[in-house]
Amino acid sequence: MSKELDQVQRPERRLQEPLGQILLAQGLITPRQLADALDIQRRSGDRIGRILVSLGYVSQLEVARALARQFGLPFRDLLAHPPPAEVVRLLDEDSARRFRAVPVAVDGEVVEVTVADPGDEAVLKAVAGCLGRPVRWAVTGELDIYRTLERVYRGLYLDRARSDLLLRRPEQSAHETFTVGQLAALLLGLVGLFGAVLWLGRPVAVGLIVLVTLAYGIISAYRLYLVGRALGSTSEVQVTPDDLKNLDERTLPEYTVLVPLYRETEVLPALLRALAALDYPAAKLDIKLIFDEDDPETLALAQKLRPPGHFKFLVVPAGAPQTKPKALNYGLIQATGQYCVIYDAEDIPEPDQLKKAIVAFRKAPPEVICLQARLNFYNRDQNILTRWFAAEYAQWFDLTLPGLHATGGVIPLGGNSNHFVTQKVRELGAWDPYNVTEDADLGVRLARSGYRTAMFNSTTYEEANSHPINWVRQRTRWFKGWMQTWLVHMRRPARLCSELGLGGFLSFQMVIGGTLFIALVNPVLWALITLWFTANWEVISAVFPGPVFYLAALNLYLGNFLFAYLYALGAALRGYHDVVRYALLAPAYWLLMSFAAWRAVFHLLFKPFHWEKTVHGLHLRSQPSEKGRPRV
Amino acid sequence: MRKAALEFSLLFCLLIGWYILWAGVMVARWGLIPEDAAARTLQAAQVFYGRDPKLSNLGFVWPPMPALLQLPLVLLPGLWPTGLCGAVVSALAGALAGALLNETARALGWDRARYLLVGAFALNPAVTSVSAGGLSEPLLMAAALGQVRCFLGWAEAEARADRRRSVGWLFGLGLAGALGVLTRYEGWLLAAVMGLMVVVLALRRGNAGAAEAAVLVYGAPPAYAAFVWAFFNWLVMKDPLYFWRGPYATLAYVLAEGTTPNPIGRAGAVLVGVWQLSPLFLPALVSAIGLGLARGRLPVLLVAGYWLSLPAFLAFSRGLGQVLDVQYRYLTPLVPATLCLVTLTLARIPADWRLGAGLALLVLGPATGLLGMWADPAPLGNSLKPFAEALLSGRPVQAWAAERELAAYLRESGAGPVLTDPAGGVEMVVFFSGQPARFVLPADRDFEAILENPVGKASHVLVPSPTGAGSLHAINRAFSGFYESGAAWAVLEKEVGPYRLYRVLGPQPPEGRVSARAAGLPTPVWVKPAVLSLLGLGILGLAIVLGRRIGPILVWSRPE
Repeated sequence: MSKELDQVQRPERRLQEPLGQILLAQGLITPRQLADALDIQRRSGDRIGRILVSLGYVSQLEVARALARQFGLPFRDLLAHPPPAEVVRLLDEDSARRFRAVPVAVDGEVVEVTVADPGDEAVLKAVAGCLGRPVRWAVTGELDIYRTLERVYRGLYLDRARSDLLLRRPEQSAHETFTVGQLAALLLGLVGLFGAVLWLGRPVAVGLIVLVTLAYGIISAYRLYLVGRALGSTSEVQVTPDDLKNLDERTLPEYTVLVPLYRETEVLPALLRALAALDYPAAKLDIKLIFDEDDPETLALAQKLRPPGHFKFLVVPAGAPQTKPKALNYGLIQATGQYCVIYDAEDIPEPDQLKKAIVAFRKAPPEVICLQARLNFYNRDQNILTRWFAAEYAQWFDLTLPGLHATGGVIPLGGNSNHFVTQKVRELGAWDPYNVTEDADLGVRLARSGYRTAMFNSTTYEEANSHPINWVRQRTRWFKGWMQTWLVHMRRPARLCSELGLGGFLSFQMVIGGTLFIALVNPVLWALITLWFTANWEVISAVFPGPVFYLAALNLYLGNFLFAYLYALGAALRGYHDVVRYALLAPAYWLLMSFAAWRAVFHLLFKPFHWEKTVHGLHLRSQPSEKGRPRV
Repeated sequence: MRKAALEFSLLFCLLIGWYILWAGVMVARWGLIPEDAAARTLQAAQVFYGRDPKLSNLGFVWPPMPALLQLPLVLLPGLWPTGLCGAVVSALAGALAGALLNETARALGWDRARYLLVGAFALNPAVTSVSAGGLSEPLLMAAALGQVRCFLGWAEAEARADRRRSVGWLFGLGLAGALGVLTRYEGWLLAAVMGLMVVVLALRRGNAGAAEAAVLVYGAPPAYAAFVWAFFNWLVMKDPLYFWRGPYATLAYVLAEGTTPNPIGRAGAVLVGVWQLSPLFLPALVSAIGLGLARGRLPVLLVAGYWLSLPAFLAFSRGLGQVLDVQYRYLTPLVPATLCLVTLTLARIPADWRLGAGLALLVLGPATGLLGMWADPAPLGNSLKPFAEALLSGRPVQAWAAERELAAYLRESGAGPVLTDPAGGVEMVVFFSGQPARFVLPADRDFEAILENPVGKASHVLVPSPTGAGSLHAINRAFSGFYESGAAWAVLEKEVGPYRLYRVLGPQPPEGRVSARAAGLPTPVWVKPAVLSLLGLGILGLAIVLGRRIGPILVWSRPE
């Protein structure tokens, strides 16, 4: 015991009985429940109190009271008797969160500090050291500590959530959609192009067609290359059943699960079931359900559903920008896990995903600070749109991203099931609250900082958007976010190139830029070919001279087939046999995609930070299908 | 893993060198250029150097892949009239086929004895002849061997329930199928047979849904390739089946050449040809079928069926007399087929026996092949015979004397535009002239107009004797008796071999456009080194990529 701690009141166990026995003696738990908890403790090495809370046998306050009794310390109910903010601030927020300790009163020189675990001498020593004053200890529940901190530091959290990245790395924030230079270049380019077409006519138009055709061909070839790499090698971190079997639960770290929720009453019950089914020691889980202040219905429903004690509720104060990344940042500030993962409201991760992620992090090289699980859908057979969506996702997550992984390219993260080393994501400035695809942006920032993202073999199932309008809204947001991401990172192309390397830079252009480019350019090319076939306009022939026409024809006939075929390959790889035949009809799906892309251009110009909410739970409104739905 | 990749790349490069060497011997020493090879090169050259340059000059008689692959090569000034453009493509394909045969044997557990099999393949004079001669058979061989390799890999991946590998192999299978479809019409048959094989094996291993998915993933590329080919036929010629029923289609050639009245005899000639070219094919086939049945090894049985389908189809079509003409060289893919069947049949015998079998094949295969090419017992068109004769005698063949003479005359006289049609052997005249822009050909947009009234639009009309394929020649079809007696507007200027050159009377066409283009397009100085560098890099890259991609998979899938 340190000298500092010796100078203050030192908590000593008054009762020799273990905590479980105390709770048993108080009649708060049954012998069977205690045996269950002890069994888990043998495997996971957790504190018995946290285990009992996570199992829902006792509340945190009951455990805290028993601990207070065990150590002969006073118990404090911080919700019933909230401590003054100025007293709470005696200990800095970071230490308070890290050590689960809150100063609650000052008595002359002595500070009374409530802790969640009075038996952790290292914590007591550290807290005393931070305060530098005599300390008197008391006990409270862990949740009380977090709620007190959230009450006191709410403004700080909100500020950090929305402006941390903007203040620390303004050049990487999408707060400003176009820089002055970009705007000038764009306007000059458009005016110059328009002027050149008017002035010089055909040669400029031909030049433009040549550039578009070449870019299309190169992007198509690159995608094929990625697929070849994905199929030709083990292009993700593989976690085998044996790896999981040999995993010692006592070595598992605390894991934070961040789930932003906004108007999600329809899918919330299924989400809570899925999260409760996660095969990870519950006492080491820090599940944060993040609600919005202006959505009391979802919060009320969550409270009504009474999830186990390791589920924590956070309420993000209202205010612009009202985006998912802001909510995630708000949750991340309060995250206590060594690792963290993002799930969306409609997600159903495979139960062993967190354990697989731990194994994968241990297997991966140290520069891998993010793991991306595969995503796919549980309602893929709802209609043709969900089948196409499933094929597209299979192509993206099972072929393209593993290909990027294999080639060391920049992986734009999917919206959820991204697992991070918590400290690293904080260092990176977390999510950009002004970017509506904060995931893709973070993936690029991560790569720019010299870190890597890896894929691993676990899947999260989510709801495929089954309604065309809802789908277009969602896809518009995705495209807009990718445009923001491209614009942000292309503010200084030379610097981006030096940070990513030439290969990474080209990969960024072809994956982020290329996806946007193809979606935007497809309808133009299709319109030209349709006009050529139907009206046989000479002007179209004139801008497609011989070799250009051949290359364009190659793109049309081979490129379009290739992309549809990749959907089929992805579906087959995922084992979605029933989707393969629909995948080959994907060009019809691309019409919707291109519409969304052009709509995204409009949104980027006029509503850059507007978050078009995707309505979830549509599959529950129609005839729900259980086919393909994983058991949870 | 690296060793496998390196081996693939080395073997590939070595075989390319081998076939290019032979190509040099054939062209430079023997003057031997197969007609079909020259025709495909000419098609590719016409895309850039024709009187009316455009991609559809590739024509719709033969599947386009062999000519398409030559497009970058014909840009090299002076190369294409030598016949080496086609040789480079066929050498690449032959090398790929040899390397794939090696990898198939390796995957089946063959040790170093597999090199003897590759030797038996590379040294077989029929294979050498087509691989060095610019013909399309090597591409078909590569496609077929690629399909077999991928099918075996897929079967193994399915057995191990390795979905990633399974899809990867199906992907390769589909690409190989598409290559076959776009290479030769037999490729359509092989692609369809492979589709059946996939269905059978998938149904045996999984449910109907899995079989449907497998056949779609496999079948999409070849089916799409066939669709695109038909679509272009419709787009340009306004008939999706133009390649089948057009005036220059193979069917038209069959009908023009005429057939003997005995269908069984016609079909039997194919079987004689099989025996003549690769005597071990039937024993190897029977052994593979026996092994497949006795050991219940369905993939072996299916692969045997795959190879059997090729001679069966050729025999059937020749017997029917209304599908395809069958040349002796069409049977060349049966040489690697025999070796492939041997690798399957002898995969699990002791290594010494395999070594013995390899040695026997290395000695007997090329020898019997050469004998068959030379002895010519099967009543099939034998364009391989000149190669065998030159090889055995060591004397130059110097074929196409009449065509060379006529081409030289046209070049020197400055005649043009010369109204003609490549049918009936005229393509060799155009080819040797090295100046396709000098000729008005059916692919030109104004051909019909000039044919209707050549006066003032063409300086000469070149026509072959209206017998056999010559009867399909556009002039012979348009002007009955023209070959014999000309017309009021045309007088005979020169007759060489079966060809007659008539001079068109009356006002002469303006020569400016003709003479400017006749010598070919002016080529910038950087084109040659650039194309050569790209070609070299392409071959190197292909070798490395194939080695890297296929090598690891094969090492992985080798039975322990």
